[in-house]
Amino acid sequence: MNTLKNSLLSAAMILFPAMIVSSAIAQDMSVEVLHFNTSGSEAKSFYKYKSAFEAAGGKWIDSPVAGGGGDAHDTTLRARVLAGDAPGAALPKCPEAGRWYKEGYIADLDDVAVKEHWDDKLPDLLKNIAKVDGHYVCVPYDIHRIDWLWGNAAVLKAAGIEKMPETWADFDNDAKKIAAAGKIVLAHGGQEWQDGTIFQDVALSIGGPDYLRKLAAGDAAAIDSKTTREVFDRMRILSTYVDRGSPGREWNLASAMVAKGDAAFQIMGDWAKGEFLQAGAKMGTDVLCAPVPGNVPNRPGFVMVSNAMGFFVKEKGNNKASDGQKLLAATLLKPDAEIAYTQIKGSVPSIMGVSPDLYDSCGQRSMADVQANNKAGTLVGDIYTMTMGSSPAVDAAIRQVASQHFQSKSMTSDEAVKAMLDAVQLVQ
Amino acid sequence: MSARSQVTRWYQSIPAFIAVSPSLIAVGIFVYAFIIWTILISFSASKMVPDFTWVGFLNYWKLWQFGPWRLAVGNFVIFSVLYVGIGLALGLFLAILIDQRIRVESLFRTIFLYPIALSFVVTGVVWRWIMNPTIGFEKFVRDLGFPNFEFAWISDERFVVYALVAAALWQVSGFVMVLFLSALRGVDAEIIKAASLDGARPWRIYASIVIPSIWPVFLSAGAILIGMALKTFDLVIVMTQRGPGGSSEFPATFMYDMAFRRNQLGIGSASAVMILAAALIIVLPALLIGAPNRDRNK
Repeated sequence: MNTLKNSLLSAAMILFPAMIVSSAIAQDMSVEVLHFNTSGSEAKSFYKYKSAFEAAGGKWIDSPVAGGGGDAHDTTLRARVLAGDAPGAALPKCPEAGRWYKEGYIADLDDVAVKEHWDDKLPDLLKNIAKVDGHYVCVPYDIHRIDWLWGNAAVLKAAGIEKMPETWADFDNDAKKIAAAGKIVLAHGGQEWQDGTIFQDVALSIGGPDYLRKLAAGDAAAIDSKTTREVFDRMRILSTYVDRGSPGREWNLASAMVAKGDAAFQIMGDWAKGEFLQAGAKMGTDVLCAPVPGNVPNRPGFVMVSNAMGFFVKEKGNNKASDGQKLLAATLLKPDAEIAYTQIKGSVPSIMGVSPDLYDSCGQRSMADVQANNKAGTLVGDIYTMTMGSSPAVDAAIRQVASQHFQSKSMTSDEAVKAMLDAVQLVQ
Repeated sequence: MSARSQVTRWYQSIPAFIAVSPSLIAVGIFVYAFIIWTILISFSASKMVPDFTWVGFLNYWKLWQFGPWRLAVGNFVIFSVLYVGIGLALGLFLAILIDQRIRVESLFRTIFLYPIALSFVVTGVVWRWIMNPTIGFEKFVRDLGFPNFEFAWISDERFVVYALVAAALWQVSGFVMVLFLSALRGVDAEIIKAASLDGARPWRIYASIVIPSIWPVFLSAGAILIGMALKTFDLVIVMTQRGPGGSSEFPATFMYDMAFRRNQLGIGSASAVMILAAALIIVLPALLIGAPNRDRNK
């Protein structure tokens, strides 16, 4: 009798908490947007799209995930998609969206693309990256230039330098003068992605756009070449220009060093502009921008990363886009929305034909260079996130070896080349 | 009569079984079934999503060919040896000191025990600041008047492991101290009195009588420390971000990076299975040695 009572009691105690009911109601004009734009200026700029979407009749359900580079966002997205609970929209990079398309989780946006004339508005590089088998798998809504060199005008003037260096030889001369004046030459944070950014910029500037594309694909001949060794030699020289506190430093603290005048240069993408503006610096007068120097002045090439939104479906293979998703996709590439967003974010619009007058000198230079490089075919996507077709493992391998070499005091260029070959071959 | 009251009927343990069953089922699925799943994946060609094409030992072969994995294993070995060795020694030393019946014993015990209440994340952040040459210990000593003092372990690929060991030891010494303290307190006072009557000096008493009599605690403390060393992940991520230049990679961080960021589920699972194998190799003998001893003490 006692045993029975105890058994029933235990069973009841176990089952009671299990009776939890949850329900979800799906609406047509609402889209859940998973994103990582949580810092001040990023959030402010990103929510311009929210206003534009809601003004057009949509309902934006916000799902922010903190973590600037988007790592936490990527993990969340992958877990949710595989669990069958994908958000309506998220921010994978286009090649990642391409992989999801192959798995069958991307919503079909072909009718929106035709109606909004996306093929006419986007530069060739973005068109190629955003499409798999002719279908748009993502909507790139801005362009960030990565190969920028930022310089503090006051520090340069005090060291006797008149303009931003155009070649690596100029850079080395300037570095001597800056060091003599007692300032840090290159503000840098010793994190893997920052080391990788410098590596990519140097590779473009020394090897050119085609070399960079081959590198991104893990081409063994491109890796085991004289050019790669030159790139590593230049990286070794640059590593002597950073200060002792650089390992682990966040990128925005490095930008702050330039804004304050403790350091002369930083090699970083144009999201650094937001930091400079927030520190009260004026672009063009207090902080100067120039493309990363090359072996010759005015070297060709433009490395970009494009933020893009991908639209997901919950059920694998059932790829119909909801009305809300179609409206949001169309809103992203409307000129007004893009202008409102990019003015605060620091990037330039992904669509061509926007008037450059609304942007500062660096933005104008960026937009002009996008057009010029698009015509010449020298626009290159960021090798770590914008390489269609190759797996993230290859890019991660390249970045890891680049960072290892930059941070090491003793690794030679030959050793770095071998390590990169090994790492790339492992994952192929 | 007494025999009957001691025998429990089998149906009298049903309530207990029902009460425990959810945990049992949960552990069975989420721990053991998933371990088997991971082992299966490690023999498959999985990249971004699971793909059950059988590839045999290819992932393991690739794994051991890969420099960064061997570096991670090397880091783990150095870290574990120092962490367990110095951890046990430091914990024992602190326990012996506190065992001397000092007046403010509970105050010191609390002070030494506080760090274990911190998460590895907090420990990592604090020690990252302390180890940073421009704002931490190096700057402090330089400001004291030694302008050429250098202490930048965390920025140097050769010494970053030792920086991690320092932070981890700071956190765990108090815990090991408490384990040893309770063991020391359990030593029979009569034996110690007899030894000191025979003229043995305090350090001799400790070395020859007390420490050998608490040797099971070495095993359990050692097992706990090794378990924590195998799991080293958040400390590395927060303190060094696996840097500088990937030199503080550990097996757990390598596994996470491969499986979830680099879309190499197969290789990531292989590395996870290697960690499991290491855990079994280390812990199993310890359990087997410890087990017969328990029966004897009954």
